[in-house]
Amino acid sequence: MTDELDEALARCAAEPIHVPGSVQPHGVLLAAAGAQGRVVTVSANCASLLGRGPAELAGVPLADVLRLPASDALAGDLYDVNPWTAAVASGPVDVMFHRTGDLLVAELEPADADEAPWYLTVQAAVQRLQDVRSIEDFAGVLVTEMARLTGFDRVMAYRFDPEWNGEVVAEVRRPDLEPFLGLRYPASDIPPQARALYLRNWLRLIPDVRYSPVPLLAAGDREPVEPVDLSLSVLRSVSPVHLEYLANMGVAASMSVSLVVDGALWGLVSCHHYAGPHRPSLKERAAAEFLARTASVLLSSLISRRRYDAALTSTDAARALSRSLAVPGRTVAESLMSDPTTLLDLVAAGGAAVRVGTGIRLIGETPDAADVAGILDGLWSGEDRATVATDALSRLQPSSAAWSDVASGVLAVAVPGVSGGAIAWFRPEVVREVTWGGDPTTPKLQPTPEGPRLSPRRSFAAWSQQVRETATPWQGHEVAAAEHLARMVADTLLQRREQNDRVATALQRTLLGAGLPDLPGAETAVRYLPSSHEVVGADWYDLVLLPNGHVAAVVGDVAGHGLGMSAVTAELRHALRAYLLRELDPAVALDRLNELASWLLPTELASVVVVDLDPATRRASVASAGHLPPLLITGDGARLLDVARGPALGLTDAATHPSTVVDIGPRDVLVLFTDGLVERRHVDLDQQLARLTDVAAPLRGGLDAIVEALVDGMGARDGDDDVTTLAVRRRPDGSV
Amino acid sequence: MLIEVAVSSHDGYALIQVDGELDIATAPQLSEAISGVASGADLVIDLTATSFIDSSASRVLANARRADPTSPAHVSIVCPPSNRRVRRVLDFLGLPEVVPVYDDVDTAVGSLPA
Repeated sequence: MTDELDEALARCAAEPIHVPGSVQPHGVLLAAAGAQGRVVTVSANCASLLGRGPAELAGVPLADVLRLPASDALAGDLYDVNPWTAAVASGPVDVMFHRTGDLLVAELEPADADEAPWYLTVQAAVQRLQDVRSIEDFAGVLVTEMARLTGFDRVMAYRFDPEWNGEVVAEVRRPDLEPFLGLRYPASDIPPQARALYLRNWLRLIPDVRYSPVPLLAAGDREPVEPVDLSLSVLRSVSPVHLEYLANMGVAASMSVSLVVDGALWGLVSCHHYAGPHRPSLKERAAAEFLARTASVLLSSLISRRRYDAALTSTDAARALSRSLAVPGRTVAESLMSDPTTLLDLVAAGGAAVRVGTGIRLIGETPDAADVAGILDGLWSGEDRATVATDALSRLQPSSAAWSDVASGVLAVAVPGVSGGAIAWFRPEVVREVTWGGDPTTPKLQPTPEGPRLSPRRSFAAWSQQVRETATPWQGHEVAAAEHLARMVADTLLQRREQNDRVATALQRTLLGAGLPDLPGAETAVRYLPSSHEVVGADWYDLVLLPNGHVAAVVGDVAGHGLGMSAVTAELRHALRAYLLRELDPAVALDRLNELASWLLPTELASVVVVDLDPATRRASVASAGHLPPLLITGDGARLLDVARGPALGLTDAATHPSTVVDIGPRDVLVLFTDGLVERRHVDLDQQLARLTDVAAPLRGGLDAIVEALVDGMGARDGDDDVTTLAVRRRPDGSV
Repeated sequence: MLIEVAVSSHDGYALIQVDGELDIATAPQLSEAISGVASGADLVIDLTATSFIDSSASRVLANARRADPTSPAHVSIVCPPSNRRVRRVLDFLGLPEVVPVYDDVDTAVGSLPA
């Protein structure tokens, strides 16, 4: 069945409708050839208007038949001649001339002598069209004016969608007729070759759908009739399939006029008559065509003005977002989601998501963060992270149907240069009731000797279909604005990274001392990245040479961010230093520090880990107050040290912190870090710790390179939290 | 970031349930809810539906039990082992050593001092 349907559709699309070999009977066609323009082909009904048969017209110059003033009148531009009114045997006729190939074609129709000039009737219509501002109103005015001009029982504006399905967007009709407004017609109703023809020939008329075609004959009746291309003809006989279609609809006469925007068929003005045959005169049709051509130009400018307005609005939003991105002390997501201008002003949507660095930030109505991550990762499974703009996400990603209420439409752009970086907008489901003019899913096939032929529907009863899981489509300028924003974010992140690196250096010099001390007995490297959230963070690290020759390595983290926190951090750092120097035992030093923290900073919470390293032996002792365990990279790989922990500083007034003795080889690298290195909002902490050991396992060589590799490998730049990574290796010989 | 903090009063104790992500931005909502609990009432903070917690929010939990005249009399936390993301953070900080952490609300309420 499907094969037969395909064959029938192909047959329909292949029908050579421009060379039917016949015309409609409401006029007479004459085709002339040669320098003198002598008649070579005539329609069989030529005597009805001209009183002369094919044999009598053969070889007669066309200019003589139609009484043109000069024999060379038809040699020049035919626009100067059309329409020509001639007095012939039957009375006055209107004549339209055109050329096709080597032929000069004249088409004659009986004329109504006392008509008002068409330009008078159209002038007011054009003025009314100029006054409207919406496409809907425009279509409404157009059909009203067209009906007034042509007298059809029903006049509709019919707009094509990108798949060439048509929808009736405006209609005027005789009150007793059932409305077609809002009905849709499948693309197969107007096959591609018909649409191509409509671009060339703007107006088609069938005054009586039950006409009998009039064959074209060779005037001289000796040589066979040359097939005449009737693409530009007004009398062209139409496809029998089309006549059957109209008859099935109860239409007695029909006319359609093209609406062309930017060189493409935008729609049609489609006119039906039911009472009986209806033939607007050639002058009325000229007026209708002029109106349609003028309407097309006005429509073009209306559409581009709307695009321009939309682009202007989004330019304003883009400018505001760009300013917001430049405000220091905000994450990218905060910049894009803070009033008064947000991502949702740039591209209208129900909600949006930003993923740069560690988490996903959401605004408006969206699936939850983990689901957004799933959607984005599903859209971009490969390397190529091209922009995705879909108004039916569940068609790309069936699993996403679960979120169709908020995310039927997705516009997702990648942030260049940021691993996994993305900005996405979501549009909710818009359940649409689409009403087709007859069931479009069941074309009728008719067997013919040449194979199956598409037979037009007999039933035009409205056939409703509910379209689900689709959203309002994304416009081209919206996609462009989204991509522009993604580039802007990428630039901002780059600038911030450079700026952060400078700030980090300055902080290391002031808050943390002038870099790491160069200690005998230990080789060290550190990377401290303040959060992109607040410029001054609350991590600290320290290296202290103890009186017993041991080296104490410290990494700590105070909850919270901001300049106030940096003062707390400095106090804790200096106090711990003093306790380490006095107590010589890291666990006891932490007990003391906890007392101080509870007393001085009752509302703060901090975690810290201390490793006391004896350069002379393999022995190290580790004490932790609620901190993540240190990492040890050995020749065999990497593991987290299993060390005992006491409560974080400030949790309780008096706490006892245990210490754990660990064995550290001469080439082993001990890494202390804060949670910013591993903590990700939607990933399990244990999973992240496992990933850290995977990243660390193969690392060898210089400590600076190892620290950089850990930070990069964990994707810990541009995060919401400070990241501190401190690496220590024993230097047993005490050399510097 | 959406977060829902629901406070309900019961016979002799208040229950605060947190649905969503507790971070530096949302922790103040929890803080507010805690300070709204009547002085002297016991408090159960239920993190069963909490999908994320950072150290700022942990600090709020820790502070809930401090000896402050406006603070509740007895504080306990509910976080089932199945909520690993939150439970692991609490474990690392050593919070269970200073605030009792229970697997479910019933156990937490049953363990309140009479």
